[in-house]
Amino acid sequence: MTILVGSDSRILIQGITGTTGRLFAEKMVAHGTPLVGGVTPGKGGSGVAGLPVFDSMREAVTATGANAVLSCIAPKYVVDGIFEVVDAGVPLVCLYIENIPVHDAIRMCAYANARGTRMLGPNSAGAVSPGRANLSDLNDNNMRPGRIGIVSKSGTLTYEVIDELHRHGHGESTVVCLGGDRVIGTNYVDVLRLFEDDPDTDLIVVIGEPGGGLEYAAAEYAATMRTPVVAYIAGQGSPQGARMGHAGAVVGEDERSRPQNKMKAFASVGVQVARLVTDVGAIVSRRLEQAKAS
Amino acid sequence: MKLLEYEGKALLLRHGVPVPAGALWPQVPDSSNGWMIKAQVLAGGRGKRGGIQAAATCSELEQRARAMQGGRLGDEPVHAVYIEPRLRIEHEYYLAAIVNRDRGQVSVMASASGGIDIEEVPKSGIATIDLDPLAGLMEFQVHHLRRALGLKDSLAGQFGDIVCKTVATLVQEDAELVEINPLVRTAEGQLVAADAKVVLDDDAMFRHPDRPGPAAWSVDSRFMQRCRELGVIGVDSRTRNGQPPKHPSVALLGNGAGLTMATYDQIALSGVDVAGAIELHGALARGVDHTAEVIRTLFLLEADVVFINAFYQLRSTHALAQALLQSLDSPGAPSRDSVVVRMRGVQQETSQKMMEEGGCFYTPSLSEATARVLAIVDAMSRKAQLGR
Repeated sequence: MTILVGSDSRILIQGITGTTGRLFAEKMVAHGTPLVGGVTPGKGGSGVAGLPVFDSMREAVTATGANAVLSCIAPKYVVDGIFEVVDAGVPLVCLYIENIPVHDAIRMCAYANARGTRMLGPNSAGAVSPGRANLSDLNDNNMRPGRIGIVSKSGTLTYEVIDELHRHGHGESTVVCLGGDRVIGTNYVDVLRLFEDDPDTDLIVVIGEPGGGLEYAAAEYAATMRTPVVAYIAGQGSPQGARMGHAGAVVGEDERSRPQNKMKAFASVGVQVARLVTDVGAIVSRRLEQAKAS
Repeated sequence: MKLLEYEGKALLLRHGVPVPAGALWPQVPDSSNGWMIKAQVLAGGRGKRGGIQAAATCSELEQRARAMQGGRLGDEPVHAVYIEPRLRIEHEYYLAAIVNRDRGQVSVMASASGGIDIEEVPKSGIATIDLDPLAGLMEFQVHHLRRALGLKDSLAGQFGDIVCKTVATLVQEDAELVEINPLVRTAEGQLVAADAKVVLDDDAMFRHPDRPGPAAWSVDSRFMQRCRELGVIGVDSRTRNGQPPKHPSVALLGNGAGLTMATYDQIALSGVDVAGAIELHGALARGVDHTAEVIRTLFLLEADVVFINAFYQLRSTHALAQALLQSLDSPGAPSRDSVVVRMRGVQQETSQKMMEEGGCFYTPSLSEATARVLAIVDAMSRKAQLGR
């Protein structure tokens, strides 16, 4: 079993005829991800990577039975595009694009939540269960099926942690990127709940960053979990007030936004916290040993 | 980005929130009650530091405004001096509309204890409402805030109007924060926004093409201005504490916010000074020449060591390697033995070869790259000590 995406995923790409959409389609097909088609208004009836293109999301869902969407459309169409996905009743959508105005994100998240669609992002690198389904920008060649779950806001930091896990002989069950924006559709606790019920995940790495306070809820929930958690919070050295690339990653004037306080929150409930990203692999190995022994 | 008080008030006024009829010095608005002279700076707490002064007469006004103009308040230059007619204040309230990140909604906070830092007001003294974006601001929510503030019925109309328009300012101007502290009740029975702190959403600038760029940008370093022009995210840490930059220092280039932050930590948590960083923010897709220009911008930080850390999944780092070599040939470029490159990506062997042939240290491992940077810094420090 995996979470969010797996062998039973049926994926559509919104904007499949664009440059980004086409690249993702070809990558998915090449690596055996269950892609079933795509949507581009006005391009219905054509094909990409040997798969059908539809004019509307509803039409595509009806024809293919799709249950997940990777949205790769241009920024100015994004709000309408996400509303269309939600309206078509798709249970999972990943919004890859970044630099979305925060008030647009608020509307999209509210609509998705109200209608029961789980939205990853905006600014999410996606979700991937290696060897089964890849709804993300991660390279299948850089993944290794295994038993460690990852939940992170950042994409690039996730690459680094995956690399760390591999150096220590571990692989991934599912990797979930929430997105680096200020307001995002899915939070840490939503994903931790899913991991907690996944018999094939032995440990979860939570990757946090400055800004906002979603990590505190994650720490609180981790305290109640059977599955061990290891946390790493980036940005401890970041200067106050600087936007570090993610719209959301700012060490603010409020104490809650500071990485050090987020680390304390995890440590206070017994979660082991890595100080540097290059410490994560060793800590995961040690924590797994401990779990085995107890 | 943060706006100065007068810029924020202009936005509030546009949406019909009552503000004093102020003007930028040397213009002086009419007043029958003297004036307030207000230093336009981004930092809070300016009242305590002499950034807000009263003047009863024209000569007082002239003297104090002149002294303030072009000066500094703490670490920050005074961007402008703003003059307002002095209000007859009966009570100071607090009102703010914010993007509540954790809830994914707009929240409105109000307190009867205005005029002080809201962090100092106990939670029980602050009333909060959360706005469902699919429903918007409801009448009952405004009532809740008004009751919590203990406002008289005669002010209900004005208050409701101000709450509504403050939320409209937040949403329509694409702001993350609109804070009115204090919201003043005057002796004449009017509610007036006596101060304004507005933070705009950088990502929504395209929706407001006519809005002028924030005044505070003009004092940003050349490095920060250049980063903005090139569409990358710059972090200039050199003058953050008002101290001169330290040496040896490291300049960072990373792709993606998370990796850039983590790289920053690798260096900064070892006690080594980071002069600043650039997050490429997709610059590579704009070609080799553009990327080379971004790297040349990194050199403006005048750091002693340059640390490039790029990790791509689906992209080759070839263009980045080319751009780096191109930029290292430019005048003012650092010497190649002070450059440490860690690159991962499709066909990274090609990049490795290019880097090594170009005389730059290359490794695919972040741990190794970090160790190398710290070793170079260490050697430089020793040398500097010996030279003393």
